[in-house]
Amino acid sequence: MNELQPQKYNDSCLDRGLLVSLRDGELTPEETEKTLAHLALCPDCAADARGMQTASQEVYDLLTVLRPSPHEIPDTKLALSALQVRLEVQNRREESRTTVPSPVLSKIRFFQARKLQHPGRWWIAVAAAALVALLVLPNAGALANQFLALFSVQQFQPVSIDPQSFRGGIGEDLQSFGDVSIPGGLNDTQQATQAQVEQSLNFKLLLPGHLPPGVGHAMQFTLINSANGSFTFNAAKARAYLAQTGQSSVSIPSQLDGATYTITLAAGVIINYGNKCQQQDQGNQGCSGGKPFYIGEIPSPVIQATGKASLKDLLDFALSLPKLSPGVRLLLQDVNLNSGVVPLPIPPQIQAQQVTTHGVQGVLMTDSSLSLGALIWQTHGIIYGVAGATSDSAQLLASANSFQ
Amino acid sequence: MGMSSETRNKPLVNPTGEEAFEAVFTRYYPLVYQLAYHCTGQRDEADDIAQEVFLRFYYTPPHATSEVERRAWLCRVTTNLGLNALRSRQRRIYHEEKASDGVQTPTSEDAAQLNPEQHVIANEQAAFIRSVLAELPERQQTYILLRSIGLSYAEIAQATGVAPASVGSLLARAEREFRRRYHERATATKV
Repeated sequence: MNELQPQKYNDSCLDRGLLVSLRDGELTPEETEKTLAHLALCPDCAADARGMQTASQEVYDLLTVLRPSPHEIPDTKLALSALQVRLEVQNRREESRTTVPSPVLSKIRFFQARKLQHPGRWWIAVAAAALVALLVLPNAGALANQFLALFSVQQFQPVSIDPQSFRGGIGEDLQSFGDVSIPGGLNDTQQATQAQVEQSLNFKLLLPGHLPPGVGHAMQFTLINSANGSFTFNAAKARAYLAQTGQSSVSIPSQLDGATYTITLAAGVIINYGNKCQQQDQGNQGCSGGKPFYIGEIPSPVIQATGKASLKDLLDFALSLPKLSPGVRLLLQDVNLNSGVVPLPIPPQIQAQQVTTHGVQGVLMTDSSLSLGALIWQTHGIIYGVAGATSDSAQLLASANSFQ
Repeated sequence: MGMSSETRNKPLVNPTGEEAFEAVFTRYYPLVYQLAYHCTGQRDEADDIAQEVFLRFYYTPPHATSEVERRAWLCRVTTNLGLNALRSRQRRIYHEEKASDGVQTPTSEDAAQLNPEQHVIANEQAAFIRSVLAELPERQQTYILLRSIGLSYAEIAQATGVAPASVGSLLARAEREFRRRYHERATATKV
């Protein structure tokens, strides 16, 4: 006799495991028949089966309070979209570790390969578009000196766009019009230590004193290393490309041929927060636990136009391409050379508003359906951003305001 | 009482493709979320756990040869993460209660369907049940949780690595232990 056998009974009595299995319909037909036959003949076991049934029922009745109510179960499609965002982010981090040059180069090829069929991918699109804007668009300095433009973002301006309008654009890859050169490549250092980061930055690293609820306090630093790149317009290459894409009618301003644009990126940092972050010697798995949350601090890139053509010439040429996708056209048209405003593309499902943080105007973007949000601003030549799995504007703003 | 050969040999879609992954996600996300919620009682935390489970599934899919094995794998990972979260919560509550001399703030959850008073009572009851569950030996917590969300014995066996024939006895022990501790605690609370 064991503890699961009814007390006082003999060895032929059924143990409770068997009775529980009977209750749950988990016995084979033969076992069921044999057990029922025994219960019919043994009043002690029958009583025990009834008692067990009642006791078990009580247990599972108690456990029903742990169930979420139906309205608390997230929509599966939205949950899938949120997961796809995370997978995208992780995949891109994987790519950045395994390919040379780094993701920054791929971002130069701006919208060409963007797939926006999933609503969650706005995140990637915004990041890419913002970077493109930073990389290729001039500012007030370009007008001040047609041949030498020192880029520095003055302000971000949200611009509503339709993701579909970025599809099918032809002529959005700089390499189709010239040669992109990035000596030494672009790369980042995953899992840098805070000390390494502080040593590499030529500005003071700021950290938020406040994190949204649910965000872990462990940090993982990714150092975006400084780099230089250049783009030299090649009229012959551009002409061949335009012919190939049915845009032969576009005229190429003579001053563009051979014009070179250089870009200088100073070191920046992206910090990932979680409950637990892998250490430098433990492989690269990022942070886990807690709500995903990132901050970024990247000096505004410096773009210099040299040679015969200005940045405005390049911009005008881009706008003259008939097959430029409407989305890119809209963004380029929204560049304000006088004020140095850089457009941020905002898909319809994103709520964007201008907010004031650290005494300057920033753009707060939230997607409440996916509980995602980001805030980006620029001050003292540094572009700061916070982004995470929260659409709580107050929390994002509080985090931004707490940078110190 | 074991897993039928038909079930075991049921052909699977290769889980490596995007579409197949989406199909698995769509099919099992509600189950995984509910299991995680059973453990945590917090929507955000349950969603975090569910996302983590599917990230793991995406990057290191199990070598499942049947739906039973796949479902069991998802439930095992969810239970492990969920019960870890529950244990951490219980430790935190214990320290907070100690610090605040026994005053416990009910966890906040969606009160859309309840008035504030009902909401607090429901939260307190759920927190109490979870605290009883958290006291059980880890494997007993798992057996009860998996059964309470409707897993078959074959799936419970697969998820916990025990023989299917043992599941009935193990469940019986776990249920009895849960009930005993529940009544002990409930009585002590009343006193």
